[in-house]
Amino acid sequence: MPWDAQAADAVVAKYPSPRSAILPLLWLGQNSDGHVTPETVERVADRLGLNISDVESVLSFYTMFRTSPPARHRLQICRSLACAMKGAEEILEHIAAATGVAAGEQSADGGFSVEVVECIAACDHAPAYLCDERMGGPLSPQKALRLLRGEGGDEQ
Amino acid sequence: MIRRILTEGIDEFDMTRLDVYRSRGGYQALAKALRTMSPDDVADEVKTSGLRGRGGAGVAASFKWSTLPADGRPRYLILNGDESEPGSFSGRMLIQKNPHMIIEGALLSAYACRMARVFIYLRGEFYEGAEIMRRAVEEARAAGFIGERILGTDFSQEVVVHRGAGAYICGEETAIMESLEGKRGHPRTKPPFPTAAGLYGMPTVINNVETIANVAPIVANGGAWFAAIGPEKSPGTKVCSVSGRVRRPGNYEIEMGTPLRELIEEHAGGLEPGHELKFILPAGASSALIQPKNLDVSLDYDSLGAIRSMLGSAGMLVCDERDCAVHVAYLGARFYHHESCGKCTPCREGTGWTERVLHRMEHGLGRSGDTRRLEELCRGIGGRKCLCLLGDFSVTYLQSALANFHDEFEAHEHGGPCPVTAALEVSVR
Ligand SMILES: Cc1cc2nc3c(=O)[nH]c(=O)nc-3n(C[C@H](O)[C@H](O)[C@H](O)COP(=O)(O)O)c2cc1C
Ligand code: SF4
Repeated sequence: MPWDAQAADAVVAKYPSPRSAILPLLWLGQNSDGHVTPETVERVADRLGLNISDVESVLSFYTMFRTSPPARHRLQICRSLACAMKGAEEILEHIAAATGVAAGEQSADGGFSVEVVECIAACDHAPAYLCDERMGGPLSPQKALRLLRGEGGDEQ
Repeated sequence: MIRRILTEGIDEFDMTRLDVYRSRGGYQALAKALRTMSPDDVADEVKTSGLRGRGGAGVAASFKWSTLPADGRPRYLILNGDESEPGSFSGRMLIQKNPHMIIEGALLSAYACRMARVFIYLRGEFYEGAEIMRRAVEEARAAGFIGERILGTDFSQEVVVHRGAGAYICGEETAIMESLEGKRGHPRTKPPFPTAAGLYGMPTVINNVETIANVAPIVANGGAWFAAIGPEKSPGTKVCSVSGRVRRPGNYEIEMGTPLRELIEEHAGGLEPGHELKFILPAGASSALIQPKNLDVSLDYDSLGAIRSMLGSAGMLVCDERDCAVHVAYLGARFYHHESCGKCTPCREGTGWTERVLHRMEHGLGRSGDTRRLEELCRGIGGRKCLCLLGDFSVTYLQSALANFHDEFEAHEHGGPCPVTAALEVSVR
């Protein structure tokens, strides 16, 4: 999608200092392109009067920004305390055995990816997950496979 | 005892809608304050209320506010909705189910402290929460509660919803300012404290979203009303997040001073059938464990401090006999190592070492002396040697577990399957 200069201006205007708009502008880019493209980095730097390396340094600090295209369905499984206690690791093993895709990997056809994340503030639904930006839980091995096929689950 | 102030009506009504929130008395505190009270009057009510910060340390909100220098520079208010401590999820619920109470509290706090702008910082993973909060802000703006000349008065206020992008450390008060300034989320050296030189170098107050939500009912009903709820030094309610081995994990808003036993056994439904309480982490992964013998402790800042633990954000993780103290320590260590920003050597190196030692103990490769090694690591990391408290957080549970379950750690020094859960399987058979 083309860079929406107007949307970018509206974001910048909210802050006393333009640099504060880095995160929101990177979000804007990621939301429209699926990931943060080199063009987005350039435009953000250009719009905010920063070096490309400044923007890249911020980009690399925050774990939610992606610099390559995502799989069609992304399942992120929480592995922190409550979720690990309730079997998150076993679900990851089950997924790997059933699909050959381990945590941190994408299926060969780009249909889905599996990731582990730290606490997502959903311990009441442990084992909790984010699937394509929706929070849910408790996850079971069967439900995980359904989510990876894009069949949805009962969200929280 | 359950006492609904912040969660009142949220299960029955869609309080994310402005008309519903208003029909239940919403924004009346703001109208009352702007029409009949000076900013100092509002600050006085909050002082009288005795409200303490709900995000961790329990510092009186009015104390923080009162340290803002009166020097004419712009001041900023940041609402901390980064909520990333394993076990805490009360903020998520308030953000998703009662956003207008947070906004109304923010406007009142901004009026009291004469803020130039309000930022609501939400962790990146709260996709839905951010949507709800943005919609609520826009609805409030359209109704004249945000923007220029609010309700026809001289008071103008902007509220900006800002999303993080994945980093536990951004919940720390100086890291959140760096992040808002568009930088990597590294904590700053203190002093200067944020109230002296915070966001953009200007006086800044950072309060947890739950702390700020309380300001609306305080102004509506008066500080004295709030001060009379619960123990004298910890007035009000706390939304406690209960997770782990209980029958009904969830958020429960209780009056401060409620016994921990009541929260666990009545509201959260008790332990899962056939299992026995082993210990509780009352403030997420970073708190010293509470033993079953202390289950009658009352839930307030001072009582939990007296048993050398803390109320903190009240993210209660309940563990039973199936939870090996070493396993829980390993999970915590892995989290803190992952989240250390790497700026201070004791934290960066120490969390890595701790994770490695616990990893081998946990995976049947423990070595003789590992328990002692962990004790030394705790001493090396803790004791406020670092820029922020993450390093200290990473050893708090571990130290309490080493003290209370020393034999479980030693039993992991000889390799093989976890002796704690193995013993369990034998006794079940
Ligand atoms: C590593 C670290 C992470 C923190 N994370 C949070 C958080 O997610 N939310 C929060 O409100 N406070 C968090 N805090 C505490 C904040 O620094 C700050 O004390 C708090 O937001 C103040 O608000 P309060 O006075 O209303 O409690 C964190 C502190 C540290 C050291
Ligand atoms: S204590 Fe750890 S997280 Fe905090 S500033 Fe130092 S290295 Fe970063």
